[in-house]
Amino acid sequence: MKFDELKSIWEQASQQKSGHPDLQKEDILVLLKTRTRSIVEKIDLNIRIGFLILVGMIIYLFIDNFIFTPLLVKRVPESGSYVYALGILDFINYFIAFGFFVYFWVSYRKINPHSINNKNLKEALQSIVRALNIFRRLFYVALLFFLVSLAIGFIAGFITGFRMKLESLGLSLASLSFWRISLALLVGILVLGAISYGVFALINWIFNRLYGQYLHKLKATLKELEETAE
Amino acid sequence: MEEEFVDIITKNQGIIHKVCCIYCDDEEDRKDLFQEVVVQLWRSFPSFRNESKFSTWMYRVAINTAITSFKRGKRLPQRQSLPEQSIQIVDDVYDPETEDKIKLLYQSVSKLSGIEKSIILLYLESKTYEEIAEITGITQNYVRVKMNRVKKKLKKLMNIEE
Repeated sequence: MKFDELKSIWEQASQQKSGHPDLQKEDILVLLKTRTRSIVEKIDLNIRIGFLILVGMIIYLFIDNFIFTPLLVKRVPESGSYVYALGILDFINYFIAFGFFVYFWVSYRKINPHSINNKNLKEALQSIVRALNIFRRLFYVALLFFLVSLAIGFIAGFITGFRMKLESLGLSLASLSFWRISLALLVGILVLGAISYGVFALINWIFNRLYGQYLHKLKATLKELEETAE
Repeated sequence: MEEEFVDIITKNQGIIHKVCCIYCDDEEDRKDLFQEVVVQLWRSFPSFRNESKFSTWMYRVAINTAITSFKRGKRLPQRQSLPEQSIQIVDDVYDPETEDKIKLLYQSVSKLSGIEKSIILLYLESKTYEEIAEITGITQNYVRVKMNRVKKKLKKLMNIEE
């Protein structure tokens, strides 16, 4: 067989349709009516849910930290300037998280994955890879925001609780040994570290389970297409 | 518009069948991909403005859908052999030699990557370099380079003489 024969073989195979019967207009209409979500629509939905969760989390924690917590802190004696300093830190955290949210949203709108059918293969692959990367980064930003918030809450709670305990026992800070304070801090850091690692591993696992393999294959296909152009 | 679309798709469904045959080695996957391609064509139909040939547009949407479609652990550009039983030749005049050649072609093509499949499909459909470049998004020169590589690979897979 010669290579030029392939076209005629293909032509014959196409005519025989390899067992595929022609669909009638009614069948096509049924296909249109029983359609399910495409991968791009699923990613889009997940990203939108991710954005909603992130915004919801920012708003909830903002209200909690800047409205409810100050009401509670007022009842704590000598809450001191550290609460104010932590409040500023927390505010910066919200500001950065919100900034990232806006950045991701604008980037995502630019990609417009819904228009992949109007793009060529290379652009379509690039769009989906970018959308998935945004989705993954959104997870990480949410995690970072959550962890910073958690750390600030932990430090505030630790200091406040510590002061209250000292007051109730009629002790001063100087009366406690250095290693006890260090141990308490170390335990707190270890707990925070364990929570951080747990949440990070969970997020990674969820993403990889959902789209890890898919993203890997898309990237490999895109690489193959781009390698051609080198 | 729906009626016009259904009419066009009914007449040109061969294009979708060909893409499905090239990309899926399982009948169920072919059916799923066929439906997905039809749906994607319908969604982008309003934005089709005759800037390119209708068949080029159809190939573009169908190939985009096939390569970016997602089924856990299945369907994406895979390099698995086509199962023997999935090739059923329906013909009034049975020609065992032709059937063997068609089987060999499908089996060899199934070992190519997603990109290579698209290139060889468009070659077999006698698309010009310009059209292939338009569909894949690479330049015509690189289409030539890629085409030569794919041809070489396919010749090796099919044991075709130079």
